[in-house]
Amino acid sequence: MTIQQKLARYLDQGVVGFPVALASSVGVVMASPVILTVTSGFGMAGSTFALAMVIAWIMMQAQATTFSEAASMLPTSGAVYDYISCGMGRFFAITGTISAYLLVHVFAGTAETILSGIMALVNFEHLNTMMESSGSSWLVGVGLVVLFGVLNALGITIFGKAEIILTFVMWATLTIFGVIGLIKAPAVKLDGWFGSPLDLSDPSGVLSLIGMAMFMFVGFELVTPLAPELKQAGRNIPLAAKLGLTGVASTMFIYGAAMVHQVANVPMDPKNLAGPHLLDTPMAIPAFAGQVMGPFGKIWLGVGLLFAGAATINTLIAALPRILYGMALDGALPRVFTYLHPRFKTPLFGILVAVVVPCAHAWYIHGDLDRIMPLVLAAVCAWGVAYLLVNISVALLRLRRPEFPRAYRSPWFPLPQIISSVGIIIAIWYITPPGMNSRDIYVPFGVMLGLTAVYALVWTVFVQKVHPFRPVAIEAILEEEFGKAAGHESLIDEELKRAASLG
Amino acid sequence: MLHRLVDWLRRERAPRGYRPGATLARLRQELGQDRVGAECEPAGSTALACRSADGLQFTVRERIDAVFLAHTVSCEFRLPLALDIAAAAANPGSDPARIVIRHTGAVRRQGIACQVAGPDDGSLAAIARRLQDDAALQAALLPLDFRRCELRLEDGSWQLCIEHFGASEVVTNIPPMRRYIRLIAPQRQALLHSLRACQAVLAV
Repeated sequence: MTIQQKLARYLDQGVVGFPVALASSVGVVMASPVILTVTSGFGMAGSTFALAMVIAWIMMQAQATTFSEAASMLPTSGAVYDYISCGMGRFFAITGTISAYLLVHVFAGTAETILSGIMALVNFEHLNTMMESSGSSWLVGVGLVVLFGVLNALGITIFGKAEIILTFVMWATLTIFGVIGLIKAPAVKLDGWFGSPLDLSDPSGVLSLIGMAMFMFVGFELVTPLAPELKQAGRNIPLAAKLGLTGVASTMFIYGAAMVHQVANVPMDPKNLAGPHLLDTPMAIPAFAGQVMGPFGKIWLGVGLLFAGAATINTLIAALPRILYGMALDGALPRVFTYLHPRFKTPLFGILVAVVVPCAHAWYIHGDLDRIMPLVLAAVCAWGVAYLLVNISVALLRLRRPEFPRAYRSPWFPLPQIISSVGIIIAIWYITPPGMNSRDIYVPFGVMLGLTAVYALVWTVFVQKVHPFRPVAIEAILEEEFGKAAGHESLIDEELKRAASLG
Repeated sequence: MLHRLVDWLRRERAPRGYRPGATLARLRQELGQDRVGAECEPAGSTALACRSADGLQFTVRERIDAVFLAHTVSCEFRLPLALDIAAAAANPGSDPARIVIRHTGAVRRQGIACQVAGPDDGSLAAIARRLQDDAALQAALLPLDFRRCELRLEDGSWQLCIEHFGASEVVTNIPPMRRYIRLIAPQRQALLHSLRACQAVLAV
């Protein structure tokens, strides 16, 4: 049987069904930075933000096909690191991987740290007033990070049993509040369904919102590594991505429309009309909850956000150190990340890094709420750079190795890669929404990316002692991963056996 | 209606993004790489039956640890042991007895400690002492990056169960990623040495 026939047979008898793929493509809905981003996006630009979300929706679908092709060609443990190594060399691989994993944590993790406590507390008036007066409400999130850091260091994991319930309750909460907010008589007179009407007079206005809109869909790409084992992957990957992204977008559209229908976006300081407005701040959440369900609504949303924040922080602290451990095994990070505490069997150094980075960052900016959205957008830049490098790598591999077997091929090559790459470049270029200082986004992102690049250069040249820009052969990666005797063909044999044992 | 919702919420289901058998498939490749490694065959969708070059037979099963928006799939290595101490462990109404093996030391690994957890008539404590005093077992376990290591009664027979820190897949939504943590060659060898050493101690 030829390798092409094996691939065709493998694709036909995939073992994972469509529902699993669909569940994997629904991204993070309830993280505090996502809620704040959608609130301020609709508050700031209404229907124009809705258009930006549609553009981001198209970009993410194009990106899904690229990730699927990369995963089916290189189903290795290194994932992004290996895709970029083969496409562009080790320097870009280390830069892209750290950008995707660590820098997103540095920025989005800090935003989550500051916001998780604040978003929950604002729903409890007395407690919030007390904490606000001392200016320390953001320390609640820092306290949660330290608490979960200590628990994870001691090998204690929580939220395990509650994963499904929490996910369902969070999604249901957002949808219920959104639907009731839409059904109830509007408290605000609006010019359009999403608040302010569509404004295309200044195209850069739309472009400046794409970065924010992209953040809505964070996490959808979990569906892409399923490509090699999904039944009818060629049809089901794009369909799952489309439906998953549409599900998230629908929830956000309903929530956003309800928010602007029920909460007037008034300036926080009546004397400063150009300053921050209510929907740019976490105070919009209790205003919305109170308007929709009264005091009970505030408690519901407050408790929900506290649990969601705590669980998200726990996830960051629990998962990231393991990833760092794996990267250290691959030689991309120093060996100290592989240290396990003798008694608790936990990667202490990785946990320390995962705790210190967002806490120190939150401390450095003193939990300043005005800095949250720039942090989220800096995370989008870091995330976008990694995506861009994967796009370029997959395109280069198509040109250099067109004959290499792929269990899934991105359709209409290179159109999806061009759409998502151009979209990402535009999103990063115009990342600053109206009223925000671009320096607040570009400077921290640029500094961190620069430091990462310097680290990658030093590490590849002086530690790994390899040519930093020479692409690594796909076979070399697969041989390293699956043993010298096992080429790509035997890997497919292996997957066929596994498919047979499952099916 | 409420009952059905509660039942639906309580229903056992795999975390989203979980790929049954995928982590084991990676492990199988890794174990087959070394001359001193092991040949494995699937034994169901989430288990492997393995045999090392020198005839050691063991099984591997996938274990899922889910947290909110993430999960870890790890591999548990199980070596059947010929121990005739079922009576001590089968104490109704209490947790089954087991022997927990862990590393000692505050910063660096200094040795191993074996402790009995659960009911014991003294026979498990004697086995724990034998394990702890065995130099070969200590030398094998010391470099091993295990998360859990214990002897426990399962399916009617005693088994040595080792869950390694590597040979696991981490799947998270934020930041979105999926990553297999390799079981590198020195750890593979330490693992097989540990299984052999334990079998040798308890065969005496």
